[in-house]
Amino acid sequence: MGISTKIKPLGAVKSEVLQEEYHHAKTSSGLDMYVMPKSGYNEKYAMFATRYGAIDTDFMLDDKSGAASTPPGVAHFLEHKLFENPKGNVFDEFAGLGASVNAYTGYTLTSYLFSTTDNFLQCLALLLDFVMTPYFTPESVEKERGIIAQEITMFEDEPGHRVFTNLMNAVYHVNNVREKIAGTTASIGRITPEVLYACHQAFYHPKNMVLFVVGEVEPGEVFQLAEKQLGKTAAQKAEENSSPVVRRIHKAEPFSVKAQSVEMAMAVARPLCYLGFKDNCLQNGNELLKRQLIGSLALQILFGKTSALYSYLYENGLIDLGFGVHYTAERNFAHAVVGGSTDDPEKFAASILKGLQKAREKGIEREEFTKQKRKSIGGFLYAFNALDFIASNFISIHFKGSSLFSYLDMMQEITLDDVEGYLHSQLIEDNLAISTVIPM
Amino acid sequence: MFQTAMLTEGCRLHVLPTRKFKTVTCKVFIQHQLGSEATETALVPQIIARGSRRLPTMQHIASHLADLYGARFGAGVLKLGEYQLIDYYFEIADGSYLGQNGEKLLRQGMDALAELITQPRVEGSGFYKPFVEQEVSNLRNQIRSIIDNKRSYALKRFIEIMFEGEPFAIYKYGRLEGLDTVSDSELLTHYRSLLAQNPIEIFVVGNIDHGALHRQWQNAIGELRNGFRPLSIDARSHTPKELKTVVEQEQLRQGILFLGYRVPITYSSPDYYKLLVYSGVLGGFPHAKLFRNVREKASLAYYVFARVDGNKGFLMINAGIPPSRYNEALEIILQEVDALDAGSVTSWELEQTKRGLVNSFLTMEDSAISIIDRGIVEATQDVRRKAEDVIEAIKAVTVEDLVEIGEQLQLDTIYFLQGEEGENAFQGGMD
Repeated sequence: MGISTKIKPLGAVKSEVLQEEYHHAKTSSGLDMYVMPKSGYNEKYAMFATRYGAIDTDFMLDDKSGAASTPPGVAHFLEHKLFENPKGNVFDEFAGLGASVNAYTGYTLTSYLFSTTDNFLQCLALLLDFVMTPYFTPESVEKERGIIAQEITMFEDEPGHRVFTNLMNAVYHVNNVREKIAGTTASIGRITPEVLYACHQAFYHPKNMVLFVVGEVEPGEVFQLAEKQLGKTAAQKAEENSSPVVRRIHKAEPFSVKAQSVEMAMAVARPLCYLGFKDNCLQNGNELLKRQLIGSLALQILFGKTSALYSYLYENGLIDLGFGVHYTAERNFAHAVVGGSTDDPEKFAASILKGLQKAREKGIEREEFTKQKRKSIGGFLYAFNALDFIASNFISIHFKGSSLFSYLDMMQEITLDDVEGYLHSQLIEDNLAISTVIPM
Repeated sequence: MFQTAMLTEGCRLHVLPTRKFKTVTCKVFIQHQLGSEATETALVPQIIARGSRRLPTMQHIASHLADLYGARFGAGVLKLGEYQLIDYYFEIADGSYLGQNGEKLLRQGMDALAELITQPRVEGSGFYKPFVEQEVSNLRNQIRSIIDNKRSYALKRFIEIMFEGEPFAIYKYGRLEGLDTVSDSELLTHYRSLLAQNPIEIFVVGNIDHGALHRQWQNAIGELRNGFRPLSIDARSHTPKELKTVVEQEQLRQGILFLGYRVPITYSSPDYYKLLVYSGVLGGFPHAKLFRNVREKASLAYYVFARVDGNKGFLMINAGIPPSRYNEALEIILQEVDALDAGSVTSWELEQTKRGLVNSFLTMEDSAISIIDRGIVEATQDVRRKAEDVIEAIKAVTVEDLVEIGEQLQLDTIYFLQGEEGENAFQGGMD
């Protein structure tokens, strides 16, 4: 009490098209905060995230200390464990406020969120508190191992999950995207309270994090509360120069794929076949978001329901409605995944390669390009209906080094040449690995 | 609350004008009873999604939807209690955000939807044959490959066992038997009779004009209607004769456990929210008895929950557990049910559950699809509740009410899909 916390907003960003705006401020400790007021919704939603995910296993705190190497699965384990604090269980405290709380771990980030229709500021205070207060004992870590082992086992029974993990293992030689986000039952066996504390210290620093709030809330109240809880104390100010800013260590990944194909037998009725195309054109900042849009648009044009290739595959019974495509670009990995259930994986893969070859020879029609761009712009509006979508999109784009409202402008900037460039340079056999799950 | 208007006998339009959303969401439900025609009814939407008179292929449909700023269309089936419904979904951007004439874009969208639903691509006296042949094969694959998702497979087996002999046991996609003999002309006749005679509910949520929609749908559907046939659904509740315990084996590493309880309460019953709170205290939240004891205390599961099916009237418990620890898990679950039935519920547990239910109810009111999904449940059960009344009903529940619910619940079925622990159930692959 008694600490006066005045915080200056850094301004508002408005989108004329969306008729939405968000406000930005920074705590004295370096946390970026964004609030998007949205009226008419019962729900208020907050997401507090760190740029620390499953791939960040190796890091250095500063030049003096050596590199730390941690087992796969720590980010996810840490996410589970932060829900326990000295007072008890965080779920119960949110339940007491009538709110629901959850968290997710991805390859590059971990996010904590709550959704509530009541007691918003108390919930926010609790969120900021539990995420920043590590508390681990050998007993509680041991108990969590059992729960996470069941989570890992559940995924091992899912063929779609297996075919994807196998694909990542074929596409990449050393990149950590090879590992499952939760790790393995063996790797989580090596996680101790010390490892968890070290990783929390390294990555749960306000400068490495972001807070996003959406709903009928007053931005100033959010900013003041966060400054009060997470602003710099006098001691921290004195230590300013030595405050840790973590450096991630990533192994150098070759351009080639590790294996051209990988196959596994499981108790399935039909084979599953996924094609992975490594994208070796890695980007940063606005270029990274642009890359994400180019890749997604290219896949939509080439494999979407309007494409000749999709019609061919569907009408020849090589795919069903479960067929899907996905493009992802991060700072140190990027790839396209194309796949689904098929009775004939060989013919399926061959048809896709032939379709891509044809597209390269004929080129992409401008009309189709314009049509799909329009579809993407319309599709962006859909994402503004649900607060949870807004929050997770905002944060994922923020950590990519760009901003949510740039999406529409950037989509307008993409040219037919961008899409064809991606098709010609990356969607090629040299970058391809195929993962198949066949019936036992 | 929806404004409801009758378009023709048995066919209603429900609209909710709001500026809350940046898209307009529409669902069209054609009701049918779950029964001997389940497979045919399941096939229809798959064929409809392949092409219509003006949009004869999937490529034409997709291209037209893309032109409408990425409008979305989906066609499927839904099972609500003993009802099987064809479920068409359509969503389109509110054109005013795109510098377009919003009314015009919506009209074009609704035209496209009505065309797809009412003007299928036909050949002679039946649906276009190649579509039928291929969708029969797709449906066959779909039914066969449920096994590929072990949790869905276990749920399907559990339902088949618990409700054996009742229409509710029928899978929403129907059966493999009879798929070979489906004829394109019988199928078209079946669909035309559904369109002409069965109850149809159309829901639209978004920035819309009631009058314009009414006229548009009346034109699109009015002349197809002929001889309304109300459904006769047998919604009686059954009492279990004896407890069924069934254990089955599959190639999987985690065992999947289900417990099913009969209860003579559905969404339309006055006691529905008591049952909902009961289920919530037992296993609806991370603070619930099951999560706390099976997961947090015994470290036996990653997921464990209880859920009410208000359409059919039963409660189920589901958990993923190590195959060798079946007895232990079952014992803890039954203990927690007993404790709840005996009224061993703290005021903290009760209050937190009620708050959680109110919170999730209000949050669902923020989603157009959730609002429509509640609307169709209310339409089939012939009841309509205001949001305030739902919240009131939840808040009024007492521990005594929960004990009363406990007395009405009867354990009917325990189903365990057992895996093989210890050995690696998988072969091949990469290390």
